[in-house]
Amino acid sequence: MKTYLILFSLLLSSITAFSQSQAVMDFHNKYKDSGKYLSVRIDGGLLNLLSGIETNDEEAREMLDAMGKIDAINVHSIDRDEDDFQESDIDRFKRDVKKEKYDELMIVRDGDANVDFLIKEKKGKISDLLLVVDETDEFVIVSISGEIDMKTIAKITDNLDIKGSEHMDKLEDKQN
Amino acid sequence: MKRLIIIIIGVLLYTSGFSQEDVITKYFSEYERRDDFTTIIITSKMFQLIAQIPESEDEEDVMNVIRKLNGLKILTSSEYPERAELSRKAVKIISDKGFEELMIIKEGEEEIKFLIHEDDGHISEFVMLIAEDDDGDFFLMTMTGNLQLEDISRLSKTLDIDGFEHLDKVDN
Repeated sequence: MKTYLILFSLLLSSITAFSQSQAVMDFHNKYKDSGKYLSVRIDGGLLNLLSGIETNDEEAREMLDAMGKIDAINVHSIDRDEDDFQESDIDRFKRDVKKEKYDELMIVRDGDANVDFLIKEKKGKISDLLLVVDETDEFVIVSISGEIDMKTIAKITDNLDIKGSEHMDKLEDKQN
Repeated sequence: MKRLIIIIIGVLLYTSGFSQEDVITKYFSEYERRDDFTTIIITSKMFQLIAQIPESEDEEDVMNVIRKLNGLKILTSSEYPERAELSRKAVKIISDKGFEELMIIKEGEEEIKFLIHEDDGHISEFVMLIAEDDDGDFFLMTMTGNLQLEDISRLSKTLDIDGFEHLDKVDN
């Protein structure tokens, strides 16, 4: 999770947030002037430039091409010890997201961190992806909108370092 | 009258599989809440999407099995002090609830148990439990879906995992 956030913030340019999801918008509007709130928007145009990078690596090629179809990536992060912060806003955010008919794909509860991976899908096309990370000290929303295809999702989830996947690897080793 | 309707709807929803039906949710949920445990849930929506990925020829068998899955849940811990004991208890709990041991793979200190809930050739739930020595992780994985015994044997042939070749004997 943190690697992706660092990657995004390295690519960061502008700071206004513009998201497809009303729930995310409302959350952002509530906290945008707060001190310990971070909001990052990576516009599709920038990602389009990235997709122009030449590479011989097939997997990298696929990822870069997929990036070209993204409208925007938005990251919103709030520190829980921020003065203005209210837990009820998070509850409201989660309720609003449910109302917007996002589908849950994957849930990871690891110690004190809760990660939720949701999408909005219509007829096999994914228009919106939400990654919600709920930890003790902070609450993070990553929102990706645009035309996202399944292969990219599969790659992203592969990278989420699932504990226990090392056991899967052990099973595979037995083949060799 | 209203109450009766609510009860009937509740029963219908329950039996139609709306409720969470896997062993982890049913018998190990108290551990899910603990900080020293990690829970991973993959929803049926995810499986639906994975099923849409075009597969290559050698992935066909695996994909066919994935298409029949409804959900996957993993409960694991590397810190819970009584992991070894929990592993042992888990096998008992699960076997008591109508699961049969399908196969056991032993490698050194590590033992992987596969259990299934089978009714007339239909496998509704597939459980994998990994127990290492006393210091190892506790690892319990369950997959729910609509599998047949022959799916498992076909899958085992594809995966070509040492020991799995015994699984196709299950079909006979």
